Amino acid sequence: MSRSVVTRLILKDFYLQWPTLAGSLLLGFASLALALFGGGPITFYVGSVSFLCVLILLNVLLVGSSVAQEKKDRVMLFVLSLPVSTTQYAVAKLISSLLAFLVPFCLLGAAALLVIALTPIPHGLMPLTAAVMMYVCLYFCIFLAVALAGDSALWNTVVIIFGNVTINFLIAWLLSRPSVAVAAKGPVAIWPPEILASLAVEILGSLLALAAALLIITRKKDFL
Amino acid sequence: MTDLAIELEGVAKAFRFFALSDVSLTLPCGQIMGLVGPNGAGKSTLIRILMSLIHQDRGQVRVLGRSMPEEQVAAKWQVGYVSEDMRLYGFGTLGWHMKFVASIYPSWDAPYAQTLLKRFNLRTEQQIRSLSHGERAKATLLLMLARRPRLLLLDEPTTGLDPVARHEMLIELMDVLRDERRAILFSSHNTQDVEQISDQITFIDRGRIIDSSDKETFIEHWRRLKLEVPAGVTLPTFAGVVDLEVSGRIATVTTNAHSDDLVRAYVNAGAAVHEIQRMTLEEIFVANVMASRKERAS
Repeated sequence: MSRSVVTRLILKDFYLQWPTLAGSLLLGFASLALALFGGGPITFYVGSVSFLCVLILLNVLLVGSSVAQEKKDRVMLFVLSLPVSTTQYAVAKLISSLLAFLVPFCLLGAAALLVIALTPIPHGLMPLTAAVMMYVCLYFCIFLAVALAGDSALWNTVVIIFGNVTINFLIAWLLSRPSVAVAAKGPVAIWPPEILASLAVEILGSLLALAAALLIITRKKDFL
Repeated sequence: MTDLAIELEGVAKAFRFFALSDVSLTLPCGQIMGLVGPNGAGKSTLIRILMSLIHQDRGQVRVLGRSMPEEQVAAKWQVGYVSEDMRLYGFGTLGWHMKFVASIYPSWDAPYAQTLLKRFNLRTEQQIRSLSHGERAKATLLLMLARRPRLLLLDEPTTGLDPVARHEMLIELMDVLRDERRAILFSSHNTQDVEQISDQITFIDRGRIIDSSDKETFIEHWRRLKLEVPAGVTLPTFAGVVDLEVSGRIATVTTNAHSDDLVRAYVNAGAAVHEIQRMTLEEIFVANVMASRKERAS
């Protein structure tokens, strides 16, 4: 019976998040269209930055409204009055937030890679795009973990600032690597070791952040 | 099946600046208990421990016979919890919330929910964010009552409500107890509300239960005696006297064990009884808290 309550909590969150998901998909596809069909380097730059901004905005809005705001507004008390344990609540929140993020993230990511593959844009951009997108996923997982396991608005803000600033360093670092810079301009997708290392760190970091959040929540004695 | 809705035994919980100490309490089914205490006394902490939102450091907690926090999910199926600071989803309508809660509880009583909608003058299409504080509180109560829980845990549900909304809420709560298997634990610092609906009253202050009894016992046992004391006479303090204040020749004795024997004892000590006053629950509460604080300080 309780499993079905967890499923209902996941569906409820998914339902409450659909305007954010629809909006991010719409804006994400529009940014891609601008980048790829704008007809010049400026529109490509503006479109690419907008696309990245949409992914970051999706991350911040999802965790901010679904997890942090629910705690701050004490809506969480209403949900916890239902027959679920605090751990089940956290697991439901983790799954619903992950789903709500990964669905548009995968669709937009696939669209970006597909368009690069189907247009004259150098295919060498694909690995760089993948590494940058995966960074947004890591950023999302860390923000979700901190918001879910912690109770501090300050820490949430620190993660947002850190996440938004660090992406610039990542891109700068990757492009400063000769192998990455050369490969990005090439006609075929080549995966330099720096890109592979970034992807490995990002995937591992994402998994570790979520696992740590779950571990903390299951050991937590006070949920308010 | 147990006939105790709540059992707390030696429950303790420590925070950095506050501790709930050695709380032992029982609430039988079919009773309303008012949990009265000043702000920061530990009322919300106690109720949150009962809901397993906070886990006790020590002691046994049983809710409807279930051990908490281990069996919290099983217990929560039959518990309705409302807190003053609980909020609903602002952009959701009341109807959406009702549908959501109904989808979880097989016990959801749709005709009763409709009755409550009418009584509380609420509409299902109303967005929660458009409701006033009183309407929001009634909406939350509706969502809880229509589940038909066996135990209601209400953490200051009438705080901030106007007198009419408060009256409507209290009437509805009393109605709940027509079913003798149900019980209510109701926390408040408003003694009027508690006096109106409670069978049992528990006073809590600074994390400790300072007194717990049925309402009639409190009202019958607490008195304030106004005595005239001749010059040169020093009044003794008898058992059951919680406070003795002397101002000139007038002494005011507050007792929690009023009897004719006590009055006679003061007359025998040389005092003349001017007046024996019944005390309101609020006066009893304040006297109880002050006496407890004095005792702990000494």
